[in-house]
Amino acid sequence: MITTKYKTASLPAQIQSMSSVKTKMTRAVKFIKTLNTLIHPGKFFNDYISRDIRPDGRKFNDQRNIKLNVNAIKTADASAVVKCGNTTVVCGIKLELAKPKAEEPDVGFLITNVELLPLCSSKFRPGPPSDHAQVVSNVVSDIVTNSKCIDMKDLCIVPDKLSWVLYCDMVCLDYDGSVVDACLITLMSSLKSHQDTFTCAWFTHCYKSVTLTDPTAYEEEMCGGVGANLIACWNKGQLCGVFKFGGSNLSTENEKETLALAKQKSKLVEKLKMSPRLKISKYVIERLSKIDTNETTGCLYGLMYDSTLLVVGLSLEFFEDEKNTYRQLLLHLPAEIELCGVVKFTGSLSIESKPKEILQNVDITDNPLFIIINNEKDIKAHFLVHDKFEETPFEVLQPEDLWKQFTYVRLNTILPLTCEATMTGVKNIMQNKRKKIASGQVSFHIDGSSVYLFGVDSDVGVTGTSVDTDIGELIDSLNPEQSSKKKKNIINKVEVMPVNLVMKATKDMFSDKLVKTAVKMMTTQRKPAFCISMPLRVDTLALVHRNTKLSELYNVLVEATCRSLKLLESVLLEQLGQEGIGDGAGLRLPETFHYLPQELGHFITRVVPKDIPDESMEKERRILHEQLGLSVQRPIFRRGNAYNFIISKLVNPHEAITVHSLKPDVRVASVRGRYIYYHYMQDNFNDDGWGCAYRSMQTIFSWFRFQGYTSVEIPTHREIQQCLVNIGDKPTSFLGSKQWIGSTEVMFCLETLLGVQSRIIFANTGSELLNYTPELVHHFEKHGSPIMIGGGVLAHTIIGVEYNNITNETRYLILDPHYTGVDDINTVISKGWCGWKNSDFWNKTAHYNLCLPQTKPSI
Amino acid sequence: MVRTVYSPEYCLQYLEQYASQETFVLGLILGQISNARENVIHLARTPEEKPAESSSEASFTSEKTELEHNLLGVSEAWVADHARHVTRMLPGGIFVQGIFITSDEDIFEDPNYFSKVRAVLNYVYKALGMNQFMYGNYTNLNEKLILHMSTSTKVLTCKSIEVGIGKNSAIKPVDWKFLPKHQQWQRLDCYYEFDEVYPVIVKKSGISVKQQFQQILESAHKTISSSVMFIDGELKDGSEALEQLVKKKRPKSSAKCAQDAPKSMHVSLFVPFENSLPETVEYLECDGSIHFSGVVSSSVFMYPKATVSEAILAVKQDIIRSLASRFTMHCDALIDDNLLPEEKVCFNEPPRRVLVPVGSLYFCDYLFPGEAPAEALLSVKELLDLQITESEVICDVETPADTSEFDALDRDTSSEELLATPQEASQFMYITGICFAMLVLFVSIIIHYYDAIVHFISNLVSRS
Repeated sequence: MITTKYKTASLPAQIQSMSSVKTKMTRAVKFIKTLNTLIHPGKFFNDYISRDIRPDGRKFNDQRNIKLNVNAIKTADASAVVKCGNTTVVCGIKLELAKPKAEEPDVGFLITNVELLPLCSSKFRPGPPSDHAQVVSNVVSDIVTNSKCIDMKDLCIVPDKLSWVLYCDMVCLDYDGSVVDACLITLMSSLKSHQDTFTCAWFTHCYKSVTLTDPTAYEEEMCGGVGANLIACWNKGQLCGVFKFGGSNLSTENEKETLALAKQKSKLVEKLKMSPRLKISKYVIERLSKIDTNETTGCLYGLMYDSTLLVVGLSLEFFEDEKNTYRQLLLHLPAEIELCGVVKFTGSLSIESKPKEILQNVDITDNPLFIIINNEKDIKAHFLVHDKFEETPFEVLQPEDLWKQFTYVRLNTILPLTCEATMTGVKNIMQNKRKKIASGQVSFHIDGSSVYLFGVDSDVGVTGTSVDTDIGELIDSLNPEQSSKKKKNIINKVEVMPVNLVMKATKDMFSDKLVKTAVKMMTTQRKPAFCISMPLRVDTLALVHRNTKLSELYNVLVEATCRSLKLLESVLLEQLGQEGIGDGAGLRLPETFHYLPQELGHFITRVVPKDIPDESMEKERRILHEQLGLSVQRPIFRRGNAYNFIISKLVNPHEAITVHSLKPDVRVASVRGRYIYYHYMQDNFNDDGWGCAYRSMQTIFSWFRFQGYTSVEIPTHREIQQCLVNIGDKPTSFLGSKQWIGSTEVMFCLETLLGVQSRIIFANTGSELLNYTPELVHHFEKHGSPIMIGGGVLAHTIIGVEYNNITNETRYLILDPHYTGVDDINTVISKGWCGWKNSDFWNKTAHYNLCLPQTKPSI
Repeated sequence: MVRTVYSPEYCLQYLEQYASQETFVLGLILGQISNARENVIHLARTPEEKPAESSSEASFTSEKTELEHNLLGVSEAWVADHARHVTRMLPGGIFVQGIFITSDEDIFEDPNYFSKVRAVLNYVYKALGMNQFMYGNYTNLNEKLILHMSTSTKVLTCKSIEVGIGKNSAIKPVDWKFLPKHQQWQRLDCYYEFDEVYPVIVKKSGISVKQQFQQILESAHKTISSSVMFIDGELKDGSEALEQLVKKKRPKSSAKCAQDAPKSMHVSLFVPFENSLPETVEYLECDGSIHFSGVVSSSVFMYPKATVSEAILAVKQDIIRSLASRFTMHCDALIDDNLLPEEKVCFNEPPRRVLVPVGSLYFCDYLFPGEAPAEALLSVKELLDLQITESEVICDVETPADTSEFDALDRDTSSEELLATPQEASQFMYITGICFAMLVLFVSIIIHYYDAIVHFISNLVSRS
């Protein structure tokens, strides 16, 4: 014992260097610290202070974490619990009526009482209130009355007759310094929960040769007890009191510095609001306003960040069967998005049993959200706070901000799966896999970096970079050239950080649970049995704020993996349950697809059995469409609709064009969904001068592919020519030639290869095109496919029109296939290869043919 | 540059001791090569061939008795066998680096003797290379050492020849140096855990335990070689020296601590999942399942100036080598090699690892279930020519498999089927019981109110 004591006396230097790199302190160090605080309290403390760090690793001005829960006690009229670091104080307020004092007939009473029970610290003994408790009680009372944050006159009901008495009881549950702070925070929070009194903030500063914010019990003791603290009170940026009861003198500079700090910190407390702030994604607002349903209820999905609730998704709840559909739907959403509330499409604030059940299942926040939409489509948001609805204002998060502030983390890994070919076999093994992943036995590796994330058990949460790095910084550091480009045109707005998974294969040396049984093999016979073995591809997403710390990402990824495994399991079980393949012989590998429907603004993940044609899964898709309130006119969740994370060519370049504010009377209609920009010279194929119509057709084709209408590969020039020869439109010599094609040929090809009908519009001159503008607008609104236009020797793709009702002016959004350069979005936009053209873009003398590919309603 | 080998001083005493007895002695040189330095750790004399090894060879050995103390009389197979057995006892990163000989002839000059030496080395090389999972040969350098001490002059010569390339390899001189001080070693520890379930797939020819072990070994080799290794929880640069890692951690103030024996580093391995399987669901008929579980404890000793990547390689080798050693030993001792005997549940428990001290570090040995640590003393004496006491054997790096666990599992599997039926049966009993009780109640009511009912019915009848 003695030897340890002296050896460890030189430890602070080590500890300091460790905490500066922010590694988690090991248990051993923690033990040594406690030992030191007991043996050499003064020296130990001085060692730290002289190295500019505090014993708990904070900087001098660091505030401990504050957690606040309001209205925690139901029997009290108002209550709050606050936890500052370890210091925990409960405050309960009881209201009573009494006659005011004769000398102050118009003033109410506020009686504070602070109790420091033996429970909270070994310093206090049972019995009558200690001196310390009385001092604290008085200080709190003085601050509240002197700071005038409560107008005592307001408490008077009838002067000289009746006034309110506020009995404020504060009980300390855990004492670790700065108890005055904690008491005041909890008192003010309790008061505030009842009426909107204004905030008052206060900070104690423990003083030695330096100023310590928010001291712990140990620090307070080192500085000379609670009385030596300087307490500064601030109220809405105004100083309303400084308290100091003893201890050493303060120099003027120090005092100034302290006051400035206190002012700064008071804002921090003001920020601490009771219920989370609310933001709703613009996508959700739009969907809510457009939704037309007979259902009365829907579920809201959102995520918490920075004490704000952000609603990003919604679904309709059918209550058809006992199964809670939202539970299943949750698995299709990226991790971190959780059920957060209910939306009702009727005007009243009443709530039936079923939606109430849903509200009870909200885990993400204590105060579930309840949104009401009346017939006028007005949206009113409420938080359910202790069984009471509190209306709350909300902020609308614009799509650009959503994409800018949030990023997706995509985890990709393959788990080898071998199990018995029965439902129980699959269930068991999947549960085991989930358990293993949740047990902290995995580490996540961020692709393209040396960053590994570890679970709670390990001493280091993150290796390869600093623990403080947030995700945004890491992404920027991984692709530096992209971040510089970001200032200009962005089209691929979805940012994805790829992650893979490694499984821990070694055991923890120091673990108490270390079982060191040597390897052994047990063989169990069971005949006859069948087993299945497959590589299970886990491909899952999580939505995280860019400011999320890497150390927080671990749990998010575990959740994401578990979600994915559940989804995969359900697909496997569904197949095993089906007739015919019940024994597992015809089991198909589940494949994961991510969809990013334009209307939703967030990903939906689907897992489908491999090689099952899309056509035979229409039922499932229809359910999903209905649940999400999506149109059932066009496919959204077919394989082809899936979001491609890596495309070498440009996708939707027109989205990078800066949008000018629209004049009234102007209608804009443009292509709906994604397409690939095909142009000359791509894929090392020289078609300069003759291939424009081919390229335009490829663009149209890519649109059909992306919209899920087909899974046919995009045809090459030669395949297009072959197709035309096959249908007898062209002679065999056409094959391999450099002859150009026109709108009708495009129409033929689309019909032959895709079964897509097209409308052909003839315009005798370029100026005559103007007459067809309304039809083009109609086309984009109904079908949304790109239009090929051929005139003279040139072919273009029209991907949008702008029509002014009054002036009859029309502008066309043109995608020009004659571009020969590299796929650089900046060049394409700035040189106008993709851009708005006026009607004089068309040759007045040439005649034009337009091919308008039609779509059929299907899903 | 001449290859330089560093050896602890007790090796010299060891050689001198044999040389002074003026006998011919042959043994193995055990050591570690790192880019920084080559170290010899131990010299182990090959035990003398036992004449009564097998009755059929009795005549052959009896002929040889007088040749026994001569290099030419040494059986290559015997030395190779020794090398194979010794390799099992070596932690990863340590290899049989060559042979030593004490004799009065100059083995380098006499072509007869030298070709014998070459033959022995080549044979050893071949024997060690047989099982790739044993990592018998150091792969980066095929030059084996020959250390010779003349019994007459006590002159020490060391040379090396390349093995495995035929007869005309050149002899190279080697600089053999003795270190007066104890060599420091950096220890790296880990427990590698297995917990896998495989299906038993029986081919027409049946399946043996050996084949199954081989399959396990292959898959373990694949996963371990692809794994990422962290030292003390952090990913290290492969080119960094181990020594550097220790220094970084230790602040300058506590220079005193540097004198202490270097602390062990904890290694953790993380396995990435790679797609080795075809992208389809395989559907197989199987005859049960195999649960392969437990730990392989690994303690590797590295020269402190060795790099992290060398250490990583050594740890990975150690785990595979240990696994392979156990399996070989287990299979050698096996009577029934059939994986699926009559019993429903079958248990294969390979020997477990124990650590035995050799100089300042530890080699290992394997104990079969039921064997006492004293057994290790025997093999250490015989194979390493070392005298140790029982208390020096570290037995608790691994614990023998708990048979109660096995029993529980056995019960589990058998009860699984049993469970389903009693539950259904009890439900049936329950319902019948209730029905019967109801019947009794009904009958008793009728009997009790018989008069009233008869009266009531007769009333009804008379009324109509």
